[in-house]
Amino acid sequence: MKILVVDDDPDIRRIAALALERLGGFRVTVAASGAEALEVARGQQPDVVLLDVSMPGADGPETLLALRSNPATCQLPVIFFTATSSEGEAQRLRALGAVGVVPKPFDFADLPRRIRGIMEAVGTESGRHD
Amino acid sequence: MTEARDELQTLLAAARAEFAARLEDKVRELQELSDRGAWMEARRAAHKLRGSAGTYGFAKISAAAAVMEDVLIEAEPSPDEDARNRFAAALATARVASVTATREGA
Repeated sequence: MKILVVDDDPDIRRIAALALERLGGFRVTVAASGAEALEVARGQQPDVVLLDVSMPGADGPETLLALRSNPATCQLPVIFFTATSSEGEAQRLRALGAVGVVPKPFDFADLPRRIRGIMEAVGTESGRHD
Repeated sequence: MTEARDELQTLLAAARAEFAARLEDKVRELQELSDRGAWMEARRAAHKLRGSAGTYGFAKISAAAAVMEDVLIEAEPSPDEDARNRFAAALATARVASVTATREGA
């Protein structure tokens, strides 16, 4: 499964990519901004996008809207990544169209399982394997 | 399989050590932002530190960063003296923890 990890924090990109590649067997691409994410998503068509909420420039919700407005990326499942962990915030993010929310800090070893669990729950995994 | 696990542990340890080595700089940045009253930037930096420090296993620093972020959210747009004092106390906690983390090499 191909996953695009979008976060402006290089420390988070690094450890998330490590966990997803080495423990989860994902094929990981990273982007450091919403603008870069749009470009990579159009070009590489990942199976899922793990998108940080709080980023300078286009933040996570703005990036999600931009993905939805492009025919090439409008169907991409998006999971938000956020250090704001209240249930109200999670509901707000799901209402924007995210298929799931992963709180930060996250458990390194648990991240791949969480992503797969969300993808299985929304039924988007079937037929999208490499 | 064991080799792969060993390699992963090595990569993880290296990532954590590099992160620990930069913790004091991250805390210093928060100090500088608060010194010049850049509260929105300080809030953003605290938010990032909250997530990254916790993920790398530095729970005390993550918790202190969470306090800093929450204080600044409550005090928007600009913190009063009480809020600044609470921010400073959390920053001091993070500073002590960052020095310990760096000294111990994570």
